Amino acid sequence: MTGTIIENLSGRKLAVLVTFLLLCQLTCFLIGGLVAPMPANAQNILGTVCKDTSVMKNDTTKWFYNRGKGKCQPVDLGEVHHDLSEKDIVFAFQMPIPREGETYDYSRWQQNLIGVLQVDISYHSQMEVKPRSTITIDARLAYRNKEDPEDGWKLYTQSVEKRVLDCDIDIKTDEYLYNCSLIPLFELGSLFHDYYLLNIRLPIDTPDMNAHIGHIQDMWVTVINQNGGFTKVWVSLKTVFFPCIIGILIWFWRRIHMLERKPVLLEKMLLSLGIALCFLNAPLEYLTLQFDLPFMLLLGDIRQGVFYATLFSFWLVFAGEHMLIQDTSAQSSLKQYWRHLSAVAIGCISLFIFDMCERGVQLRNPFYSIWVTDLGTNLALTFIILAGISTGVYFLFLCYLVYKVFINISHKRQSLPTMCSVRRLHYEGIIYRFKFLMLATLLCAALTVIGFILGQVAEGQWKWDEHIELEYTSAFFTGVYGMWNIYIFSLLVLYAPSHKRWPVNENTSDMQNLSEEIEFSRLPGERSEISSLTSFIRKATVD
Amino acid sequence: MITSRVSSFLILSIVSIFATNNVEGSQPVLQKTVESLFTERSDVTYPGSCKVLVSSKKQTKMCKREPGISKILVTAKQQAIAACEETFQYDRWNCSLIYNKKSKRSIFKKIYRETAFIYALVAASLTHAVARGCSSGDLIRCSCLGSFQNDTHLRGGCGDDFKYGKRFTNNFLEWKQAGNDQIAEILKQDVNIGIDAVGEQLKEVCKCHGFSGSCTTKTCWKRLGPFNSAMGLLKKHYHHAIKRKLVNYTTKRAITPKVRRKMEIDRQKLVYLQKTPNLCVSTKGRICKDRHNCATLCCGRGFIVGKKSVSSRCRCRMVDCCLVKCDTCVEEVDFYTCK
Repeated sequence: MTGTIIENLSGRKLAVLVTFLLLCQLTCFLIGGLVAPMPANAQNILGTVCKDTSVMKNDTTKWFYNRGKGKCQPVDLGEVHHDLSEKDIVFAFQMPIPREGETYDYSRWQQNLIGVLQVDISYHSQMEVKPRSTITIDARLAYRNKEDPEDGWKLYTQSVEKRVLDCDIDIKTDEYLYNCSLIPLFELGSLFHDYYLLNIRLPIDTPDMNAHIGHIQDMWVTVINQNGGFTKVWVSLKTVFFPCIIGILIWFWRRIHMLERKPVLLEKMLLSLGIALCFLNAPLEYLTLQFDLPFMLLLGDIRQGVFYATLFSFWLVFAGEHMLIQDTSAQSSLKQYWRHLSAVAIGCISLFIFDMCERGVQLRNPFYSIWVTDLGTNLALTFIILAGISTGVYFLFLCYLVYKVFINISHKRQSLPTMCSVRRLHYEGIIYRFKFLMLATLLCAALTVIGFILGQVAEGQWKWDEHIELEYTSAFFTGVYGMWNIYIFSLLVLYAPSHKRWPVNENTSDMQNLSEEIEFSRLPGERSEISSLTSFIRKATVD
Repeated sequence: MITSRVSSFLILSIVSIFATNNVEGSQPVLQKTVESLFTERSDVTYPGSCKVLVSSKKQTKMCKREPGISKILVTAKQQAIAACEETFQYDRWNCSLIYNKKSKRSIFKKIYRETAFIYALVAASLTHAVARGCSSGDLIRCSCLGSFQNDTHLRGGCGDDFKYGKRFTNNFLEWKQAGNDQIAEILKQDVNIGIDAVGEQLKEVCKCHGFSGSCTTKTCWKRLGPFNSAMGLLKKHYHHAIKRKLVNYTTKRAITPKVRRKMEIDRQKLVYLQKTPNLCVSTKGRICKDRHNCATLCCGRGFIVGKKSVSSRCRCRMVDCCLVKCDTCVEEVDFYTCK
């Protein structure tokens, strides 16, 4: 009769292991907080107004920029220009902007680029901006690399997009600015080239187009990219965790194969959880340093989605397997959980569809946004609400299952005094450890939630004293990432089948124990090597 | 023995610093810069790399390092003057450089309420223009303050151009070298209020870009407000400025801790030393906005109501495609002139 490692581990060893894992956890948190810079960085770019005198505006070889050879002559929109029509105006955004006397270029470590548009519209009593009016933007994105000449811009992508301009104003005085909401402009999944250039025009092809957007004074584009330093720390963490999890997974699987029985559902779930984690851990980011992979944002979402789906399913099965719902003779399978798991599936699928509609389409057109049209907004909201509802249903299910498990365990506790002392102690230990792991799960989840809320409330940087500055957001990310890795690592270790034999079973002689032993060995039948906790509970149903 | 040597060296060096200060001119750079930026209304190009003004050694160096700065200085100067003239159009002091049209009564002669305001205004305008210059890429030396990683691609927090604008303005006006006598302390405070007026217009904006675009990752940045909002705040400061008595007028000695403590109380207000002369003499013939405004502007002398026709664009509409056509409407409006 064998059990899992957690049941056979002495308290001292368990304490050592837990301490070690906690230390690892602390290290992850501190690495994020002390070594890594903040996860993402924003840069405000003020658009330079250039004059496009060409008649045809759809020439994509002509680019306007404000630095370097062939730069345009900037126009001041504050002055009156009689020779300038709205069609001739181009807002140029050249990124990245120079800093500290150097012309910086984007590094591939910076991973992605998100652009947000902010429009400064000044109030004119003659031209009031209606709330929720539509702005049409002709946006063109070009790229250039270091070895290219300074005017060698090449078209990356081009699109005419509609966006909702939500503006209001408190004091209606001329020249005062409207309070306009952010306009999401583009999302690039890969930052492959060194320099980017955005040209924005406001076309007026139809009478109604861009007619109610007031007097535009300035245009700002804020570009957000992941910090190179953060990526390096993140990828190094992945590089460390990936082989560790792979290693422990192989060890886990080999241990199961050494047994005579087939793996049970819980072990299969653990294995798939490990595989999902490996999928999440795989440092694919290294590839972006060499290849242009715009699907990385989408892939990142999918990887996280798969991981969370597996983790949620595992919790369900974990709780369910320690219950008495299934027929003792049948091998439990995933089919029994289809009702519970369908909540996870629906949530994941709706999120996946939403993500494909947003980030999937962005692979083709980085300027695309699902939120622009009313239909798209409704669709996106439907999927998100669906995902939200199924998450809620899932947690209700889970809480119910866990509640039932605890009820069961407390019932069985009552029958413990009738057992022999050695066995009783052992069962008490199992219950204790089961609760302990339950608590660990709750603690991990709670820490994640608390950490997230803290990050929302507090400032980005925490100062301990003059010299030690803690980058909280990064620490939160690496901390949570490390935590779930460690959590799954410990699950794989502690729930692997143990090879130790219970000494209790061999040297007992008293009657009570013998009768129990007979009963015990008879019940599980061929599956004698099942996790002892499960068998303990199953046995109790017969009692 | 060693300590006495060190202290004597320190004393010597301090004395020599004072001496050089005296040689360079009686007026500190702070005063000189603000005055010349605000007074010079022609487009004269001065020799040296700063072009708009006769620069000090440090300023010349700063302009040389950053070639785009002379353009920014012009922008800052024009922005300050235009904003001042527009905001004070209907006030007794209409942003003129001299009081009551008497060339001897320059507003820079003493520290009047208006002088204090102009120090704040120039500092605000310079800060704003530099921050804008950083964002548009016209200035190339803007630094990334608040980052603690120096590697090119590794840094965090490069977006806050206001901080750089503030630092640049303080450096350019040689804020630290302005001295610590009472006059300098007052001017320094006024400059600070100007810079802070721009800082108060910063608005934090955030964008979520985490898992599936959710707010698991959120990046926030500060958005520079428009200059006319800062100007509105500065005008409030102008009206709430407080007057201080000069403690030791003749000496350039550092102020005593007692005075300093007194100054600490009103850190958030513009400070001036001299009462503004009565400006009612010069408001004759000034145009006022409405009857209410005339009551103050004309100092109770009454006003003349005239009629004039103003033409403006009205009934604008789209014609065919892509052309905005407006009618010119002629409207008879009252206009008021002070007696």
